[in-house]
Amino acid sequence: MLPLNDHFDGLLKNLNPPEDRQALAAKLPPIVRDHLEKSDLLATVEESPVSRLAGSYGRRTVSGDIHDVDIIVFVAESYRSKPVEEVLDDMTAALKDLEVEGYENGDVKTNRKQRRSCHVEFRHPGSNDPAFHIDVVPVIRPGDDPTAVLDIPDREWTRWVPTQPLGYGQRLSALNADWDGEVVPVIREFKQIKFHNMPKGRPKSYWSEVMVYHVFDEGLIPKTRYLGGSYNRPERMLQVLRAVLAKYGQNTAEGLDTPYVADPCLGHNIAFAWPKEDYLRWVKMLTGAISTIAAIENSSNREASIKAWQKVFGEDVFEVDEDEVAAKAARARAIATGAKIAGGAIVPAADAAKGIVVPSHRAYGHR
Amino acid sequence: MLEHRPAVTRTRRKPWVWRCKISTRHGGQVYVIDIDGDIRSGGGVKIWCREPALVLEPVTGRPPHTFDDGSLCVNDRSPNDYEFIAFTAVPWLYSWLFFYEHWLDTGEWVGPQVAGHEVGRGPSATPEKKPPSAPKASRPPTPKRTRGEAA
Repeated sequence: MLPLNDHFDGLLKNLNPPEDRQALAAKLPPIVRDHLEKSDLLATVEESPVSRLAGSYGRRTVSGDIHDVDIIVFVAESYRSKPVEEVLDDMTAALKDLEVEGYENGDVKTNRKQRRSCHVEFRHPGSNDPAFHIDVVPVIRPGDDPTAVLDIPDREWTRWVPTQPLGYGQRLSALNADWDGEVVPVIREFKQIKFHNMPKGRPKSYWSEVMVYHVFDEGLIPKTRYLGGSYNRPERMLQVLRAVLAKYGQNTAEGLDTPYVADPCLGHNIAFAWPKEDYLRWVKMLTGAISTIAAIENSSNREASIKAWQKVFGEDVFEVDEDEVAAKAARARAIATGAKIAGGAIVPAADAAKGIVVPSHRAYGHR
Repeated sequence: MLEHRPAVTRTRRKPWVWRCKISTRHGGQVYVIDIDGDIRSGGGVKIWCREPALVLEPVTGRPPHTFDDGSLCVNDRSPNDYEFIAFTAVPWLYSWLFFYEHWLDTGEWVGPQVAGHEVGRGPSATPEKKPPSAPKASRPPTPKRTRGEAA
């Protein structure tokens, strides 16, 4: 399959959150974290860290805009013996007086039986629409290790239940490193396929992420070709789509439950609330995407290949970055006039002090 | 070839064959390539791409700058008896792969080509089966050859 490197580079760049949103995501959470750490209204652990980033933003698996940023706050062990809603009440109180320059005071929301976190909305003065959201989640950390199993309020606010958000982040990082950085980009691309072809309905973004995680983690796709050559990005994406469909797309018959999408750390079904109607639409969408790509699997037709991928990802995101293409063209010209092999790669001769010079040569053969 | 380890390892002696797992940039496509030194018979160096299958050029129906037998044409001559493969064929191979990938992305071969054999010109009337051998030069003073290090 044609690698379409320029397009896949452009795709990943286009899936980055807008720069202004990235700036907010970098700026606001530390303010909230510092505020809670200093507040007397909420008892937190004594030992650092008192809070951590979590969620897709924390794991760098965001695809598109940043809808919100999740922060977990390690509250004092003493909350375990109190009614769960007390910690949410204290956290709400502590966040009430949060002041951030340029924004009106955050509206703090804790909806009973809907959220197990405090939802902070930031509004610009005079605006009714929140400019940014932060979800602050209280957790109890049994030991010193923040990546171990933690306790989080259940949705009914009746008890503490286990969770391991940072443990999953750690596992994902390890898996990504083990696969030479292939996992996270594929997760982001897979989320985009769902978003483009099925903007409404479930699976939730996190379920999609976990499905891809399991495909890599369980070795449902080959790491390399037979002799050790690698797969290019379009080949990898098609493999993942097929593997996800094979693992999770077989429960369409009437009477069958929707598939079990296991929490990567704790093993429970995170997709237990997947409506069958949404599931059937998702399987149809996935099957359609696979058919579209399979049609150009063995094609060397560039235009047809680009068109097929644009259908799957969306024309607006699957496009080349002209600046990058121009930079690559300049690099190609530089390599054509003098290059070195340095660090296992070819670079323009001017870029490497050391390395093996590529002697002048001219390709010949049969064109 | 020690210079290129671990990307290049020897797989056979007499005739000498090296297996390369190389990419032109970090994190890029890894190609599995065999370089057949063929020292014993005194023939030229042959370079084969084992993985992945190369993309065919629409005009000729074969990968660009390859011979009839499918081997890669990285230069218009083979290394001569006194040139190290490590410092000729291997760097040429990196360069070939770089321009091949660029061709995949842009449809244009911007690397150096022999006039009249440019990619996209259409099939030549009589494709060459083998590049012309390098002329036998008078014995150069350096480098000293070590078996297995030079073609």
